[in-house]
Amino acid sequence: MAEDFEVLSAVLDGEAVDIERLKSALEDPDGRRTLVAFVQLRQVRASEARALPSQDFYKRRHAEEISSGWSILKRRVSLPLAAAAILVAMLIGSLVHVDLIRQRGANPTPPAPARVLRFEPGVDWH
Amino acid sequence: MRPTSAELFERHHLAIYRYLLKTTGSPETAEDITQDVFVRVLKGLDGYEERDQERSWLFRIARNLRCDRGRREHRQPTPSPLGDIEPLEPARQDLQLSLAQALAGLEEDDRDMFVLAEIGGLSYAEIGVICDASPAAVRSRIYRARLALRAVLESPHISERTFVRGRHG
Repeated sequence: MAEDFEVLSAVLDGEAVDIERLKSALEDPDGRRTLVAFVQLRQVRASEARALPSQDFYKRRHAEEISSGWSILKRRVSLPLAAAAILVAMLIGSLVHVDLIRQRGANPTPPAPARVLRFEPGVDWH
Repeated sequence: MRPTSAELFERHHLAIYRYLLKTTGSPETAEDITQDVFVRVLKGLDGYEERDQERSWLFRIARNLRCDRGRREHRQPTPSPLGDIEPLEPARQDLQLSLAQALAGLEEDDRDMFVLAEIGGLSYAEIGVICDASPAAVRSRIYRARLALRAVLESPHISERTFVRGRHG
């Protein structure tokens, strides 16, 4: 019979139960008294379950977040960002390099001089 | 998507605090351990994988921290009807104190499982994950805890004072 009353405790907690066992427990007057007592117990406990932490708790939590949380979060965020920045820099560098090579390849002769400077030994040597 | 530590704190800190309050009997200890739980969470979010078992994961951390502290300090839970902000009538205070004493006198696993179900609102499967027990064992232990607490409700001293006062206002 005790096992049949276990079903009352389980149904009170929202667990799936065997309906036949539940019926059998509720048909027993002692079972009904047990259910009433369990519900009463829940009501008493529910009135106790409104406790809140102190204001100091929330201040400590805030300080904790700032001191340890941020450094951890920063570290976590900066690693992938740093990796991405390095990849982007390498990509840009390689594109510029390829472009320079392409430019050199397209015009192999040096540009024509716009002005000619002559050096005469003994005249311009100061 | 993985929740942030702040989201987990918002969702669960009250339930965890109340669970710890009921199982330690000390608001200061409950606050300390709740802080420690979320510091652990902040440092160990990488270990967070099973989103569906978020509550079990957090309560398990809380329970382990409480057990570690209990072992360090060799402390037993203090029976006190904690948590009510509103002043209660004396008969109700008596009842709550007697229930708290009975709760403190339960086996640790019975007490934990009962509080996790009653205060935390966790399912037997979740409690099983937290306490390393099968749902059937959780069911039996919670039933056993309820029977022990029911005995308090039905003790002549408590019933007389509580219900006579209740009837006459």
